[in-house]
Amino acid sequence: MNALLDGILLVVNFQTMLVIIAAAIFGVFVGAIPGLSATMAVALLVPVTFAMEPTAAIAAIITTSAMAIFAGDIPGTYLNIPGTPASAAYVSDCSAFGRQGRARECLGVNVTCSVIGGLFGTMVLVMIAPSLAEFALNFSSFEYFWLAVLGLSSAVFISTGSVIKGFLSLTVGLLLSTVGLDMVTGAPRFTFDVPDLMGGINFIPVMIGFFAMYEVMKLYSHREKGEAGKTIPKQYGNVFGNVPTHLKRHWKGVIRGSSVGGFIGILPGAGADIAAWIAYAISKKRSKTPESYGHGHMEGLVDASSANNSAVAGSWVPALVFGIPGDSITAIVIGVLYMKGMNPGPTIFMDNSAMAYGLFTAFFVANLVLLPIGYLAIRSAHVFAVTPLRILMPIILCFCIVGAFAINNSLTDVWIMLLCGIVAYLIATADVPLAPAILGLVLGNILETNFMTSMIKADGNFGAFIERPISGCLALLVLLIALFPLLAKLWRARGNVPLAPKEVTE
Amino acid sequence: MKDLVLGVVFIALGITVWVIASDFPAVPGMHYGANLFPSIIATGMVIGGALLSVVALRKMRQTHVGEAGASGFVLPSPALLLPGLMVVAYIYLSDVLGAALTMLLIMLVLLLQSGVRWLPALAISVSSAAVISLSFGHMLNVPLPTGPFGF
Repeated sequence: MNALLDGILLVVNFQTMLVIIAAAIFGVFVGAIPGLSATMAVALLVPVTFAMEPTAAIAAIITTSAMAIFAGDIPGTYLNIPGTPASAAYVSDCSAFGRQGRARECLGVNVTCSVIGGLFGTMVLVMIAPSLAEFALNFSSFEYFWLAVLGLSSAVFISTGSVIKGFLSLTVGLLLSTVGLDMVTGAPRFTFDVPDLMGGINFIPVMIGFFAMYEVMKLYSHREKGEAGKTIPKQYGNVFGNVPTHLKRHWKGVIRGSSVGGFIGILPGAGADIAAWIAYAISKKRSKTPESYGHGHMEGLVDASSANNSAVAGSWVPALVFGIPGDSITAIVIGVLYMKGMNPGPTIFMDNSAMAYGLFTAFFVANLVLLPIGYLAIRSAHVFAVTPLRILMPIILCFCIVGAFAINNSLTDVWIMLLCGIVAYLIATADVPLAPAILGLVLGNILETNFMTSMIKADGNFGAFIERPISGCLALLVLLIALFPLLAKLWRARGNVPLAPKEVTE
Repeated sequence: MKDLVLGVVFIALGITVWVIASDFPAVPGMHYGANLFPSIIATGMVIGGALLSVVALRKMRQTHVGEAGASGFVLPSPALLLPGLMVVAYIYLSDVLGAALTMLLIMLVLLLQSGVRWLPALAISVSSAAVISLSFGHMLNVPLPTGPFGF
């Protein structure tokens, strides 16, 4: 009980609250500007959180990601451009409301559903994570190996777009993770005699390169300067006036979306964007009026906007309990947790229980802050439409440089950031998703260490990998996920709508 | 076409990784060592790259060859190189000019290139450079290089 109180006090104090509000405003801003994603917001935030208290740093990341995921709906509604990939699933519904002059009403429902979804996801996190951690104490290197494989395979097979490209992206990340001294033999690998590379590649510069530097390059690669011609139709009505009516009619959708989002979040390797797509598809399938989806229908919107925020919280479950990221945001989080001495793993709730309760509190506070800040953002939405990217991108580039430098105070990290930005640009223009590469980088070491340890334990006998009951189940789950594209194809062949989108590449 | 190039690049990368990794030492008394994991990755790269190339070739044969080649590539604007060049410029200039001044110049160049007029461009770069170097250099204690003017 004392730990609970300590944890709450870690968050509910003047300094941390100030950090949360600042992070919320930052999150809204980055999320609402098309081209700047929630992952980018978090990647740029990390260097700033270095000087903070651990709880404040974590709270800042939680708030930023929750806000950015909601704020992605704002440009989707006004301009038909999803602000973050997680809003892409229902952007045609949002923008239809915008054209009818009902943008505020639509965003009011969005923000309310986001808060409910976020709180639901937090409840899932609070209830599942500690008991899962207790269970996970029995895990050995075999189980951790399969968990890492599970995370990687869901990133590849449940991602949007081509499975082969997702797999190639994954190999890039895994290759980056092998740079540095080998853990078993101590031999340097791919270091090319650069001393800074001996300790391995720090993944924060990679993240900044992949998600921020890449966006800067993408903007400069467009030949036409398409900034003009963004006009916002006139809007009527207030933000929360019609929310109770809509919620009353679609309360089932809110619960369904939140549960789907929470579940997908918990799955290692699948995050908010996939949750939104799947929740939208399920909602459409269960609806009595599936033909009105995509033309300004509240039903799918309620499902999907609850789902993406619920997934944000859910994806922290595998991150905290196993150190296996649920999506690219929690991949960054795991790095931050290690740096703050809050090592993720099943013992986190015993060694650091006050901090864990602080983290849960931060989730509740962040989702509640979403309401007022979200309201202000909706009222002042025209600001985001007129902030031109060509002014922001040079500033973001400088943030990238200084942020990458600040991790180790080393220019090598700036080089790494630059190279990763170029690689990201090259592979992303060929429609290769970037998220599997990041998961590969984060999970590569976990995968390799546990694989080598298991091989040494089992004396090279592969059968040992599926002998234990839990590892056998996990292996089966991996197999199921590998069959997911096939199942989805069968599902589509039965006359259902396509589940995966075409163009989202994150 | 794009996919074919990507596939071939991955095959080449896989082979290179395999060759480099074959020099890594093995654990004494075991069949595998530091090279096992990189070799698995290299194999994955080659197989994935080959699959991608085959799919791309098959698609190209279905559509007419000439068309696919022409529409596959849209050359990006040469301005694409600018951000990268600016990062390289920072790496070499920041020790000489100081971080704040280098960032100011970088932002100025990028803003002018994208058609912002001189005065607003100057105002934006001066204020942003000041904010970034003050927040990182002083509040977060990052040892950003100082130039001849002390900032």
